[in-house]
Amino acid sequence: MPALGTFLLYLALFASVYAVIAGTIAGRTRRLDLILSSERAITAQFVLVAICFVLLEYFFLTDRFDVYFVAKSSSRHLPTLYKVTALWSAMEGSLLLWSLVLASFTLFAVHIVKRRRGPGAAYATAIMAANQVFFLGIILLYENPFHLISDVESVPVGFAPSDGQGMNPLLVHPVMAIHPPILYCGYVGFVVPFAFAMGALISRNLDEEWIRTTRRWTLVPWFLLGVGQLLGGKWAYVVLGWGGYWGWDPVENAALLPWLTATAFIHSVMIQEKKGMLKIWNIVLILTTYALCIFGTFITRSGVVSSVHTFAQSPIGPLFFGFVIAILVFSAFFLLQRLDLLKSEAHYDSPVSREGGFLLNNLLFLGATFAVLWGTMFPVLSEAVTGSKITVGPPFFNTVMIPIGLVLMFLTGVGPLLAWRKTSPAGLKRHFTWPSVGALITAVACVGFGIRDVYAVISFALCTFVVVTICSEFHRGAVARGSSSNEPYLTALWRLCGRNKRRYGGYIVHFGFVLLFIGFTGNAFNEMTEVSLKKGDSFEIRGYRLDYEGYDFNRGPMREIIQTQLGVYVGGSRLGTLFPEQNIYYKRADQQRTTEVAVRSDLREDLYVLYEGQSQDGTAFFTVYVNPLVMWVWIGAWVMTGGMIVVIWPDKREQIRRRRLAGAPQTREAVA
Amino acid sequence: MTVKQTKLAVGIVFITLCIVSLVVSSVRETSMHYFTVAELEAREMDFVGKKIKLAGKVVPDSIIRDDATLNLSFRVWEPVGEDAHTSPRIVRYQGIVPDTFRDESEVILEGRTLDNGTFVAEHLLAKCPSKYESKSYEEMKALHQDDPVTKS
Repeated sequence: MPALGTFLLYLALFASVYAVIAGTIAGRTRRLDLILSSERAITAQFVLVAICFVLLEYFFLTDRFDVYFVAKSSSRHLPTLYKVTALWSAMEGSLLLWSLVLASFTLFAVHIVKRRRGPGAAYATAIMAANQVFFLGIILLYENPFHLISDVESVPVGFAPSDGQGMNPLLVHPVMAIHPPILYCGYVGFVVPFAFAMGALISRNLDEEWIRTTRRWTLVPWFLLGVGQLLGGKWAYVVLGWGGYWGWDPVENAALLPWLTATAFIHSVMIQEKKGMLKIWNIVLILTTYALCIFGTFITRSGVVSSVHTFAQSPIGPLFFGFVIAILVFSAFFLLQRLDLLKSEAHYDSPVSREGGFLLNNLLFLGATFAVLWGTMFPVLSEAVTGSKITVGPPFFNTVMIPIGLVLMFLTGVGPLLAWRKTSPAGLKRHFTWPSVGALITAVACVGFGIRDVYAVISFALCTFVVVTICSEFHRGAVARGSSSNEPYLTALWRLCGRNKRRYGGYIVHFGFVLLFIGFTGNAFNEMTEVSLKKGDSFEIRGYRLDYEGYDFNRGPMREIIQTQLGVYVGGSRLGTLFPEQNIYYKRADQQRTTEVAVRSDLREDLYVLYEGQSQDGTAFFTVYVNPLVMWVWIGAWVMTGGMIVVIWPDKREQIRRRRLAGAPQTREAVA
Repeated sequence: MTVKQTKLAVGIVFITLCIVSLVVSSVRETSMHYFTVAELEAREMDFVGKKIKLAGKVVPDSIIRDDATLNLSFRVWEPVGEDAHTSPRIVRYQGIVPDTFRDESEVILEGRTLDNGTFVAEHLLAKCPSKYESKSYEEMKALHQDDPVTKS
């Protein structure tokens, strides 16, 4: 059976190779039969990879420990849900999931553009298939999940241990079940805009169509990459137990980098759609984004930069680096060849304009990308240049990124209200009087409440500024619509958003971003202390009193659980009880321990308690954090999700309009 | 080039320079040298009293902890292999250590070396000796050596 998996992977590889060849020739000759043929090859590779994936899941669910990968990532006692997710808990399965996501995106993209077949789409098909060739090749050569133990170790053929080694307990968590797939969808999804941009370049079909297709296909991966990162943060916060959700670790930065350039792209693409400007720039951004996605995989998998996250390292690191170089060379070549086709159609008029705002936005996002990349790679670069390794840590990233973030927050408020070309002083006054007043009041109030952190005061003031601009935009639009159509205010507001999903959905995303920022700003007021308590002792932090009321010890089949109990009091009244735990997985060879954080969250702050163990005489050690405003990070993520749903919700009138434009009444395309 | 374009170019260059200088100055203020135990031994004299990062592996049975004061002392040696040529370095730390910290853990310490060679750590990061991904088959066999071997 496992041999069947390998065989099917080879078939998928051949189908992909065929799609590359057929797609390329179809792009050059415009032969319809070859285009159709390459599309069928794409369907075939999807089906084959999907079967492999299901087959591997079947091995996990049926405890086939003669399969090496299953034996080392799963075990009999694992709950069924985690047997399913164990597939992507380690390298081989992750790559297969990656390949499946790639196959799905490719299939979806190919079928959606079916109605507008052309050389550009044919090249794009070939490029997406080429990526699949790379991933399947790596899986087959280095990381085949279908290898038997007897292929890897010197044991008799068919040997199977009685139980698997089991998933690392840190990964047995609901967030970790969905974090990798969502993050991969984000990473991999960028292959589609990349391929369509390249297809447009190679085929010289650089009309407006490609940029629309590319933009739509960028939004979804952009969103998923963002959500994936926040889920990773959530996992770190509740499982790893170091009191925070973001540590500027290379692995985190690796996912942030393409997200930053993609954010720049989804903003600057609007200038191209409206004004026909910045064409070269946009292509560069989308190419960079995809290259950074692969580069991120390289960073996480090669071990070139030391990280607290110890992912498995393997010889595939250099291959990924080579792949990044190949992508850069390939795309730079075609970009330089086609520069003359990418002339700007309009000129820039004034810095106080929508264009000016977008330009500054792009510079800042690129600056942020550069800073994060520089900080992440600095140890490697300094070692190469000076011979000694010099590292930068969170202080570096905070010093650089806080000012950049604050200016971006300011632009979030200003940008959408600036007029195209040039904004008059009267317009500025009309739009920005109330937001500025709101910001000033907030700043004064913050100082009045005793906040002395300059960045925090600026941040809260800017957040108010942006919220007021967003509210006034909704209000102004609803009033204008209501007076022209005689609709009641709320109906007008609802229809207004329905008719301009992109614009108002975008504002909701911005609002979610403001909430994220409020959460981030809370970091300025974090407090941490380490205490050792005997039963009956209590201690105070930020107005909370915690009483140590003892502990329970339980020995289960897999782990020993020490559960401590702390009573939480504020001003003499009991708020509740916290149960921080420590688990010892005594059956594992490494006796791994994990801590179960106890968190008490409200909108104001998190009380976050870790039990760190105890001494011979029964003194228990706790680390206690008070982290203000953390909940706003998760709320912001939900609001952004809502905004994204509004933005990408299919718009019937838009489809009809585009069909008319395209002159193809039969089109049945879905709008992503 | 029109006046407008020149102004634009100047603006872009100015903002870019701002960002670059922000990055460069932040690197200067916040960077730290990073050594393994053997590397520090080779360049000991240059870095006494300076804040550095030190990577090493905890020497087995060297951890001494005082639970009352949370004072901790242990020795580290070269993380790559067990290089007999580096003498273990004594480390002192005060605070609660993560559960990943134990014999053989790889640690990354942040702190200063004293004149007598002791490293006083202000921060301690420990990598679990096992990875997120599980280890070799040898360990699996060791774990299950008592179990009857089944064939599928």
